[in-house]
Amino acid sequence: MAPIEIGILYSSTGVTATVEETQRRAVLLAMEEINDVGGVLGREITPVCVDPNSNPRLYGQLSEQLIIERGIRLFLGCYMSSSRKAVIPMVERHDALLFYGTAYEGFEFSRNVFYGGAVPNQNILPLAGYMLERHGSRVAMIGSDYVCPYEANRVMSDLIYERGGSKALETYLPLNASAHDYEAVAQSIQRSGADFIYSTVVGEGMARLHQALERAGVDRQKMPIASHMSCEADIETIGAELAEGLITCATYFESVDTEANRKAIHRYRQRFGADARTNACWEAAYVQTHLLAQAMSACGSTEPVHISRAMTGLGMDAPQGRICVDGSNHHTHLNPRIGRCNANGSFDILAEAPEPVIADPYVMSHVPSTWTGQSHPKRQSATVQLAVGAA
Amino acid sequence: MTRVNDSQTILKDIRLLRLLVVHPDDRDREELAAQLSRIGCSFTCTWPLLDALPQGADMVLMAVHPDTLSQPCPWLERPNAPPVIPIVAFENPITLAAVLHLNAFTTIASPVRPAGVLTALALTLHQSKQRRSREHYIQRMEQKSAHQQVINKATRALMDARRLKEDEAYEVLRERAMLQRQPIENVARQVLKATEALGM
Repeated sequence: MAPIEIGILYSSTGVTATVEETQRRAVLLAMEEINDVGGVLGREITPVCVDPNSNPRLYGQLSEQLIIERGIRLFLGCYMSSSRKAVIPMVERHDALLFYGTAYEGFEFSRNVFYGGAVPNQNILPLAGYMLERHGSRVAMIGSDYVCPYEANRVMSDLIYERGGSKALETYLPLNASAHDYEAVAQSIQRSGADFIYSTVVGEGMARLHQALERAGVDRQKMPIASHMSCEADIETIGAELAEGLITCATYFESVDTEANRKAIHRYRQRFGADARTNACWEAAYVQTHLLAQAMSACGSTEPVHISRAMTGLGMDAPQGRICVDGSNHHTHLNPRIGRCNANGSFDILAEAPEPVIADPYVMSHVPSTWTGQSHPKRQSATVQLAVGAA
Repeated sequence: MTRVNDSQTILKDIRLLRLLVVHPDDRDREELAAQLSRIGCSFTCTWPLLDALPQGADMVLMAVHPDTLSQPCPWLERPNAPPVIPIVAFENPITLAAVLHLNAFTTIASPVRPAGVLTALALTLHQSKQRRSREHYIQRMEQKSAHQQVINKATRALMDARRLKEDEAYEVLRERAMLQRQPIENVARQVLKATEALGM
């Protein structure tokens, strides 16, 4: 029987290639795992990879090309929201499905998309709650100048004001800002007397920010950096010595202590090298590939409309723990945890949600989750024991 | 900056909205109801059109349906009627006229897609609040100008009767209003009544 072709829309080139490359590899790994145990419906699944060069227009063009020229109607991919927004009209027009395995800013639903990454109530909210509770409520905000940082800072600002805190500073720099621009901001941050820094800087800017803060003499013990947009792949580019102490919230860390994670990492390193690192986007892409295969097996079809129905309520023991697909909003119930970057560039887990958190992509007023607060000392001591070092 | 904050406060009210969906039970209504649930609004669905609006509906999402174009909606004409978002399947002049009649700020196109519903709610909530405050302002201004007319007339009557200058006549009215602890327009009205009664 002919293999089932699946379109893979991750960039190997361009500004967001670093993380997207880990997502592409996660998909390849999952597909090999699936094929090793007989494929889906007695057929092999094969990836058809394209390189959209981190360019939203190319995501749109290439996805439509795969649909029209190769009849592909199942896709895994996209990283930036702009690329997802470019692919959605194509999958809607041709009744195809996109599996989007990246955290994003929420406020979206398409019947042709399944969202595997966190939305703000699963990452920004817990991070804000944790930081404001432990480190104080005078906050310096620095972000890249595009949609996600503004939305993240809106959520953070609300929570700051609710507890009578204040913003020491709020600045946005262009995606291509120079080291010099970051130096200037870092000096203002150093003078601002903030309790912590909330960074929504992405891409190459992250390393520049961390370097600039170090040079400005910011004491990371006294004024830690919190960023829900930094993962293990970013730490590699920043360098662990500069990122140590960074606090983030993600639904997966390489250091998560589950059997599924240990096995997946083991196979991943066998396949892609002993130094290959994983991250939350990697995990979401890996999990969504398995969910897609599960859905096809469950409905006995490769038709998007049947797969879509079969996705509802589907769950699995993912590397991050138990997850479940919400049929009403196509998002995923995930397991947020707070992690602090250690000297090895891995994250020590400081706290974690006691059970999967429902995705609420349309919430505007957030109520802090209790597990991030100090009101649960029991939970806290339990999670300290769960903390593990470099995997 | 305050404008942005005001708008953001309004957005937080969206989950508190009580919506009424007046729509036949079909695929569009299903799609709309599912998206309203995702957004997190509370809503009730009803069809056919109602003669009276149920209590406590903050906003109405209503099918503009070829079958019901001729049916009147008396509740729409009442002051303080909730804003309406028409759900529109046809773009012919008759349907358009019906849509215009609803005084809507925006529409939702049929077939209903999830994207755009939240924007329609936000826009309508924001604009209807602004419209309401504009209407209040106009009402106040109309009242004020009606009062001003009465005061002007009374001032003129006093000027004629007592051979006063305009500011002196006005001062008489003002003093009397202070003494009686009454709005000046009431005193003006009394003066006008008295002068009419005396045939002056």
